[in-house]
Amino acid sequence: MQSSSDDQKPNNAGPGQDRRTFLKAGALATGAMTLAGPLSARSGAGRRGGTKVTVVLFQRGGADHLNLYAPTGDPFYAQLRPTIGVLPPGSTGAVVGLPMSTTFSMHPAMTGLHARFTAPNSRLGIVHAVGYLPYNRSHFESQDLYETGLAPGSPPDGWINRHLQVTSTTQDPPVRALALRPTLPLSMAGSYPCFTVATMQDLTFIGQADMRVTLEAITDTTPTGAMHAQQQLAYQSGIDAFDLIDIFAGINPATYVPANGAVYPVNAIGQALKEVAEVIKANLGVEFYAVDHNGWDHHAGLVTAINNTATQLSQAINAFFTDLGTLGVDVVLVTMSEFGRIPAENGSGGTDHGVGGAMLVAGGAVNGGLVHGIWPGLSQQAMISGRFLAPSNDFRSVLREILEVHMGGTDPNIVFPGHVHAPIGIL
Amino acid sequence: MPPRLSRRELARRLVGPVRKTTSGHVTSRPVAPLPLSFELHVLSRATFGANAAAVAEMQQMGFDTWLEWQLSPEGIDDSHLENSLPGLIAPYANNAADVRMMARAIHSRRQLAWRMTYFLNNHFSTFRGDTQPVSETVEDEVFFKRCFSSFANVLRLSATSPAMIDFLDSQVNIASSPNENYARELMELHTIGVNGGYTEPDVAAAARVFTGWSRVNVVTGTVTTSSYFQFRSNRHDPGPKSLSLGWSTPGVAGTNGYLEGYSLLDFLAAHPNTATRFTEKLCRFFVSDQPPAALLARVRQTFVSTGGNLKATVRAIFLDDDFAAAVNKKSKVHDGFEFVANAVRRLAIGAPNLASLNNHVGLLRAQPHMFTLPTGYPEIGPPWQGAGNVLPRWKFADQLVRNQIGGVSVPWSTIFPVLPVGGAAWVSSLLARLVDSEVPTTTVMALTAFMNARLSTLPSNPTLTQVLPHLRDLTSLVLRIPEAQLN
Repeated sequence: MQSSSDDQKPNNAGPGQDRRTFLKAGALATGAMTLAGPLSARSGAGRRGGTKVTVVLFQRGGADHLNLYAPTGDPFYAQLRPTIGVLPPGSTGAVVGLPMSTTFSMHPAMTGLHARFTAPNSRLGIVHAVGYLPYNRSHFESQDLYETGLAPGSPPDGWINRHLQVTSTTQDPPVRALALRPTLPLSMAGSYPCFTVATMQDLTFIGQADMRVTLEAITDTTPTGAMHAQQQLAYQSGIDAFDLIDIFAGINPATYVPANGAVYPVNAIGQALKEVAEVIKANLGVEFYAVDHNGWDHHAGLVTAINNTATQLSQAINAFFTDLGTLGVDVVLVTMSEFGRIPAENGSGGTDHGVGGAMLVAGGAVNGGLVHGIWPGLSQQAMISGRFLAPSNDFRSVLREILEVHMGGTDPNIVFPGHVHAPIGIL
Repeated sequence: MPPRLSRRELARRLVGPVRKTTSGHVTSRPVAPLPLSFELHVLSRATFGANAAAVAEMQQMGFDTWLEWQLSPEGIDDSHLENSLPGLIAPYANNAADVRMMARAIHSRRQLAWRMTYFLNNHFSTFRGDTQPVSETVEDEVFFKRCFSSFANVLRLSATSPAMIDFLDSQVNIASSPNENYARELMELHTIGVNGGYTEPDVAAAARVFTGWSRVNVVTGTVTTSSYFQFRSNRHDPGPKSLSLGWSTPGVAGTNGYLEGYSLLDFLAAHPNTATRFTEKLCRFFVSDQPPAALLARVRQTFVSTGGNLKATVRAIFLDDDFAAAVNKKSKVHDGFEFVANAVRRLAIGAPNLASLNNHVGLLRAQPHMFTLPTGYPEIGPPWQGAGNVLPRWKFADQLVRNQIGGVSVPWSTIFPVLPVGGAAWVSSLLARLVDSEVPTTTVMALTAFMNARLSTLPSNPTLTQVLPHLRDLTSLVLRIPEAQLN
């Protein structure tokens, strides 16, 4: 979790300069750069690879990737999913897939993503049959494994946090990682300071100036060394809140107008990605964003339920890249989910916790229009225990490619210890 | 037994002046606050907020009597609240169970039983987006009535609760195609834990045990007005099943087929790993995020030796010597629901609009029946900390003191029948009321300087009306200091 006192943090501030002073100076400096224009500032000299951005979208609940990116060309798919399966393109029926390749079709609710997938010079690709071994089919255990990158830390820390640690320099901007959710995700937990905000709309101090002075004095100057851990964390939370209010003073989701006619869906994931786009455009040096898309645990009634979540996902991501426009070359969005689901439908018109899933990777210089990775197939012999899609492609290989190719490098031995890289070619 | 303070000492601490520094101890740091009184520590964990009524009850009875009184909620007259509930919320509204939980948290005199019910509701978490509203309402009532019975009893109530049956898909778990959702979470989350020793084949076998478990919804017009458990033997797999954990059945056919499930539930309830895991969760809820090992061992022993009796187990927690250890005091963090309930109780807000409050609990991502995954909300502090949690709480606090939350107003003249004189007295009074005065001396000084500056703009001996804008600002600040997050 967050470190409990400033002196345990990476030395952002120079000697004799407290963190708050540094942060305020940083906010002013980056604000000045914003005035120079987003693009020129983003490529400005003296900035490390902070011009590149990765957005991690976590599909909580275990998304059924076999209906999102359906292997309609796999000879066993239709018989495994006689009532809930996506039908091959050209079929007649309620849920007919949109063609991706000879093997795969996209769920018909995802028209926006399909258009991006099939566009010339596409920057949207899929890696299928993703996971890790030995597999774990518990929601919270497997979410943790994805977010730690299977590193055996105690207390656990996240792959994003470790990447920030190994790429830290004396020029770090005040916020390199921001989660648009109330609680820090495990992927960002660790000794490098990462930050959370439920919505950027919360980043305003409510009250008169003397109230702020008083509360800020309390949170910032009270010695916390002798306090217990939760009290220290409560102080750090207050300090973080003031820091974020200052750093993101120019962000105002209430008045933000998306560019290029982008229309975000009015739901949680749409709002979150809209706010991420606004912050990216403000060019404050944030490199990693984490957002959640909830509601993927479709044990029953999957056909109706996934139509809703797939629609939300497609509309939100599509609007996000429309809004970013040319800035999208600097931004990679990657989705992950704690597991895929069992290829065979259950008796409830749904699917139970499985193993192999899939990841969508979009933006940047992504090799789009392709379904990447080894497809092990859905034959009984190919499936684990005859019933789980084999995770032929390790999710860490996908993330490592993003860090190495898009973000400009990392130390894979620290970020993904013990992982044997098998290039995917998504980037 | 833990050391107790005399009633006189308790009263002094409850109403006394801002705590003094430890005499004779000179230090450049603010001196650590005096230890929180035992009774206030108990109230912080056994109630949803130490309001004046709870403090008075504790003072009148003394701790031992108070604890036993709370452990027998059937003997506590709560009729005024219970009779008012039908008028508070449309009975089958989507948010009915949330609102009723808030009503009990704020108004019930049976505080400890509702704390336990709140815990059980989250341990056996169900998401009301996937269930019938009436099922959530009824499930809370059932948990409340049996919250001090045995764990095995509560486990059966959960397994047969229509809310759980809908949430974890028991109603579609049929012999021809088992749905393993409930079976997995039963072992992983409700009983022995993810490392409790079960295997994937155990999950599959347990799923077959619960085939045919279902519920019947009674629909009046378009509204589900009640829902009850029903075993459908024609959907049940009557074949033999065995789990590597050491449980098996030859299979029970016909209408008694549900007895397989009862047998497995009882087996899991009595499993040693359930005792370890459940009592640890309970101690994390009532004691601290990292309960002392010796306390854990003793509480677990009580759970085991009493056959999982929850009254004995909760009693053992509060009577344990280590419960009162200084390290445990104010070591918990309010979740979002608790933050709201605590503030409303301590500000003596008499009849708030509960639906309105519940909407604000939603902004804090903490409505009791709205966690979408079966894990339930975290019982430990860190996930409730950080700027992402603090900022919406600051906003709530400020709106609360300005009556900007619909149908909620702070009764300032009730709180202050006699107006304090001077900034220090205002600050002292509010810190005692809201955070049990458990703050560093520098915080007292900063708040006092703030209030003195505000008061200096007023005539001497200002009226409540004159001081009110400043009192609201001061109260807003006190609800935002770091200690306001702690319990």
